[in-house]
Amino acid sequence: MKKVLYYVRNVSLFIVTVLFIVSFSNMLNANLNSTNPPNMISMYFYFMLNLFFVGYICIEYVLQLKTKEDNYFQCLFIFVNLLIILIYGRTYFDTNIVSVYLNKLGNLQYEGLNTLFLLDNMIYFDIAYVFLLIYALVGQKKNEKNV
Amino acid sequence: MESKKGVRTWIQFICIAIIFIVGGYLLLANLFHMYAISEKEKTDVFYVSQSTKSTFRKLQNDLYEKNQQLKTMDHTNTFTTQELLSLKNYLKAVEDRMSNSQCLDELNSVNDVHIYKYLQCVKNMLPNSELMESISNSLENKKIDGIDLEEMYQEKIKEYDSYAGYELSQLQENYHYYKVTNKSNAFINTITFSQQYIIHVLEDHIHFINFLLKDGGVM
Repeated sequence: MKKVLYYVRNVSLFIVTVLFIVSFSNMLNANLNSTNPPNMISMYFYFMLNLFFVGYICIEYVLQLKTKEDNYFQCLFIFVNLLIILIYGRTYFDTNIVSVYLNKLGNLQYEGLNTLFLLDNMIYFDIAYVFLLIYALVGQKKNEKNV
Repeated sequence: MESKKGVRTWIQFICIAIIFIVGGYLLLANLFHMYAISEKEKTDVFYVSQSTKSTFRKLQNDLYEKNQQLKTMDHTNTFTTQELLSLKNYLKAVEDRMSNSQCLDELNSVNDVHIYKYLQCVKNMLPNSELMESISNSLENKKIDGIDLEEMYQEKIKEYDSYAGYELSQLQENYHYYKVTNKSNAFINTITFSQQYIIHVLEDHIHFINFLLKDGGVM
């Protein structure tokens, strides 16, 4: 069970990272094409956190950190990643959202606009990731003391 | 040592709670939003009031008649033949766009995408922004009976173009999703307001032609 959760968590992080890379250029496009350039800070912050987690997963594997065995941590991480995947799905396929509808028109003028919806949700991804990180760091420290 | 361990357990507990609160909010907000903008959420067919329709038709006829009168004029006291010709072309373009438009037809549903299409249709009732800008420039320093035509045009007619553009950009960038609690009402208000605005635009154009006709000695 522990192994399954561990692998599911890693796969979900991989999917989320790939989705982010794919939408990254679109986001920058949306920023350029928009009449009111949106605030991109939450996106850059998310980018940083995502990179950090990719690094953390590698370090966790190499150093065999305790979070590798922590089922709560894996479940939380999977929960957050599934939410992110859900929002990405909406951002690209829900044509009832105006910016997605416009993007589907194939007009170059609208390219990347649909990611604005994603951007609105990104602050919540950031908050979830930050607390996930705190959980991992605090948990790691606790386990080190216990050893 | 035990107290430190307890503090860390509490921190972890708080982290779990915050992740679930934020995640739960995000999940619920998106589910409600998905439902709110889905085709299921259809308000009854939105009918345009008969009085608005009849006023619109009457003003359209007025605009047509005034344009016909304007055709007979070569120049006015204020405008040269060339300047008057460009104004005539502009007013004819307005008449054509107004008569070809279907913005006063019934709307089958009031959702974000329909409203976007509707506002775009309304925006297209006026000639493009570049033409309006050039007309505005050609009216610079032109006064009839002490009324500054450029100022009148800027205030009364160009303002609409900015309004429709603003509403479209708001929709385009999803702001309505977060800032309006009763979206259906907000959209119906937008439609009603824009219809009234179309009427005002027609009235203002007729008012503008009246100035030209008066200046040319026809009225």
